[in-house]
Amino acid sequence: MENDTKDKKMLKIEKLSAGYADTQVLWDINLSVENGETVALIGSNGAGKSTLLETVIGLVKPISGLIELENKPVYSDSASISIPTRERVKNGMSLVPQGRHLFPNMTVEENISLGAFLQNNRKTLKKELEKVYELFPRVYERKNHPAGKLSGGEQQMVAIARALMSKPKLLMIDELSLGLAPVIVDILIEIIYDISKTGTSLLVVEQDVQVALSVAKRAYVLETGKVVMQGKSKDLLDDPQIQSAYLGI
Amino acid sequence: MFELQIIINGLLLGGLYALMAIGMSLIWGVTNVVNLAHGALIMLGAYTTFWLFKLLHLDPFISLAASFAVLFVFGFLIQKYIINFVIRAKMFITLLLTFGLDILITNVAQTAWTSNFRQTSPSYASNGFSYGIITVPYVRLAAFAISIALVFALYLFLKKTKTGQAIRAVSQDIDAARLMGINVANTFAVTFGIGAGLAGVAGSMIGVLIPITPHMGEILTLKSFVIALIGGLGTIFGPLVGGLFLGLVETFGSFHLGAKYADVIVFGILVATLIIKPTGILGKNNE
Ligand SMILES: Nc1ncnc2c1ncn2[C@@H]1O[C@H](COP(=O)(O)OP(=O)(O)OP(=O)(O)O)[C@@H](O)[C@H]1O
Ligand SMILES: [Mg+2]
Repeated sequence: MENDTKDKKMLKIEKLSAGYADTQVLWDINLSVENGETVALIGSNGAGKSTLLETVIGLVKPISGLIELENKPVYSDSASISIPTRERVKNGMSLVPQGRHLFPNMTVEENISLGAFLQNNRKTLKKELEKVYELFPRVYERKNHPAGKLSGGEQQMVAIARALMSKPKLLMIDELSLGLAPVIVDILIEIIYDISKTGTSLLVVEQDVQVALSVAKRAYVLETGKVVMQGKSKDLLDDPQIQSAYLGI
Repeated sequence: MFELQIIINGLLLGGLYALMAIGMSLIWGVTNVVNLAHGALIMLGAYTTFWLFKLLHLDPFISLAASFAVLFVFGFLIQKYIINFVIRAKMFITLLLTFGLDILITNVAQTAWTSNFRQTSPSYASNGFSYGIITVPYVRLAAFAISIALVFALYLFLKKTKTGQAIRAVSQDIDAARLMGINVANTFAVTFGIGAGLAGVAGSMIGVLIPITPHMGEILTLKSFVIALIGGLGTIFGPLVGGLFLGLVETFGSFHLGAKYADVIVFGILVATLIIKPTGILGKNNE
């Protein structure tokens, strides 16, 4: 029994290839996130990090391979399974996309409420709203503002709040800190810890290796669409290749 | 005093124009499809009410509900089974497709119902009330009131209901809408259905005011296009402003210059809008 729960991975990706119309971007990716784990994904510009997250949630169509959420395939070429994004969200995936993608002409609260689109209960909606406002007091202060008018840091908070409204088991964040002031980044890191503490698994794309390796115990390095390195964050921090490529040491 | 009568006529017509165009504007703003078959849908609404009146003696202001239902289903199916397949294609492809649909619908209507002029003419069609030298026909007043009410109903629908929020979400960011779990293809189909349904209702009322023919939609597509454009896309009250504006200008113009210039005025406004403010009266300037 104990082995069973240990084996239960939140996310398992095997030999995944994906891309756009005539360019393949991802090549035979293997990656997993354990139950309750926070994993970082690092790599330089154009490595395919966003493409990977978008493929996992179903916005990009894979070419071949396997994607499993809690041991159930959401995509499998051998079994010809590919469930649409809305089913993946219903089953517990959620993505904070790169660039946030808020609905600019809606208020902050409308944006966040849309995160609970598949939740059908108005009463629980209010409760969930209160919960995320507790996590993001700044967002609460701005709740009646149009989302397009917020600062970058506030937008990122709204995007995370919105993604939490579907009560994800696996929360994926694409570029947690990109373009944000250090004080905001510190707040976001704290929030990642808080989210992780509730048992949510996280897969975080992060260009700032220091930030990435401080939120996650384990990390993958992606280069031109392939996983070139993986391991414990502290081992990666000591790795000479990582040091020269990402830390400028 | 005569000018006042023209203003009243123009506004009453403008309200109906607003309803006529709001469906096109909604579909355009949400799905990015400029529906060149919009006038054909209005024409179908006009015939629906005409036949229900002629065969079942149903009052046109009651049968407009049937028009909405028929055109909603028709629009939903067109979007779901035809247009959704080319939705990410270039604008040119969707233009071509809806232009083809327009020709198809018009020709089927002509084959089925001939090109004879018809009109829905309830007994009260020419009644009205007068105040001094001002005359207000009941049907025009009713058409105006219903149009304005429906524009506000649409606003509330988009703002307050779950489906409405899905429509707004899809119109602002398709990928983000998908991430919320929204079924984008279905939302497009519902949007098209609502747009077509409102075109149907407009057609029902237009059919009481002007003759119904299979080709009546052609100029109405153009007018809807102009109204949607001058009102500004992606705004709910844009078509209202655009409709009232066109109604006024057209009524003034045809009175002072002659009725045959009405279409010239429509084209003139179109060209002027495109030159002066391509984003429309209520549209945002740089987006
Ligand atoms: N919609 C698209 N159509 C075609 N090619 C794309 C598309 N989106 C991304 N690409 C290409 O796929 C490759 C990987 O891009 P991706 O955005 O996944 O990289 P990334 O690691 O997230 O980079 P960044 O750090 O810039 O966010 C790039 O070469 C990019 O040009
Ligand atoms: Mg990226």
